[in-house]
Amino acid sequence: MLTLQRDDTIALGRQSWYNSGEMSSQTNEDWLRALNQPGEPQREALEKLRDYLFRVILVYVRDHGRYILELPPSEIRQFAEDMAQEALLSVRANLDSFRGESKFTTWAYRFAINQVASELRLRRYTAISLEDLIEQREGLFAELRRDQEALDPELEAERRILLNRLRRIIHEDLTERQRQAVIGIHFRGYSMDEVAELLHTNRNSLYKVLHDARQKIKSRLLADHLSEGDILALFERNS
Amino acid sequence: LEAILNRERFNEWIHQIHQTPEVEIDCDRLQKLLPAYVDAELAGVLPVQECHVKNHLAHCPDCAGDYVGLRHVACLEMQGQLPELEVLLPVRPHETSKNRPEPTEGMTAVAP
Repeated sequence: MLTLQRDDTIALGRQSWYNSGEMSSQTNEDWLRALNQPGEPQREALEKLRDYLFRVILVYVRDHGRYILELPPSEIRQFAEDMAQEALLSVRANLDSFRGESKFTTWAYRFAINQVASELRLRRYTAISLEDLIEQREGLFAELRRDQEALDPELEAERRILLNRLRRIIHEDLTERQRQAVIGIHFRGYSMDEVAELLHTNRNSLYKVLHDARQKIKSRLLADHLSEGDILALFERNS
Repeated sequence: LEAILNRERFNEWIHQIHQTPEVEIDCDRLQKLLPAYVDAELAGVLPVQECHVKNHLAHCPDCAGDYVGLRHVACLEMQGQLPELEVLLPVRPHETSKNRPEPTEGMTAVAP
């Protein structure tokens, strides 16, 4: 049963310390007034905000976008401009939802970071398919077993029993979608955005799928009296 | 493609499974909370919904990446160190003034 907490069940505390003027000379009220005032003030505010978003995106690309950094500078600029434009559109579309719980710029930068980070994640892998979200011939735990070959046959047998149990839970108790999500995220190490795109969904929905899968696996393990400590201890012993 | 669930990732996965609470916030909710959470952290104030946010970040690698990125730029801005375009868009040695693109309208020209 999905029990994710939703917007309407979380009470937010209002905070005003950020608007003390220490962190920015332009207050939230200044931004909102300018952005909501048609004419020159709005144009100037949008230009300034676009410049900030552009710089924030370039900072992120500089630190995380090695695939983009291999491009010619003009293409890096174009990429960042496109991302900034998309982020600016998101900021404007969501302006009414800004409730003053953070600095306005931090709130706006969230759209920029989200935009560029998602784009970079989606560009990281170019040739994966749904086939990569199913168990391969070598088995789900092949790498772990190579890592953890025990000299003691009894220990080896205990590990094999546990991994077989986990494998059965994944194959028999999870839905196909939950299994694809677990294999993609935890076993393959793909990003949430990547797997979400493959499954024609979004990050938020995929998170709910993974939450349900974790809950289900947890309940099965606890029913078998397999605590976290028991499992980890089994793989800490080397002989 | 090679399976990459080595011991480190296996331990992390087992930990995540056992630490899964009944109630979690989803990615949409996390994204809405993130700006206030980051600002509070940088100001040394106890963030709202700290427990929920931390739990989500521990389970969602993409939102955790967004958090790190947002915290970094918010920190730079707080310190007055958000780099200018001239610093962020350097011209590579092979790019001469002849083939360098014209700056887009509204943008600061690239430094030579």
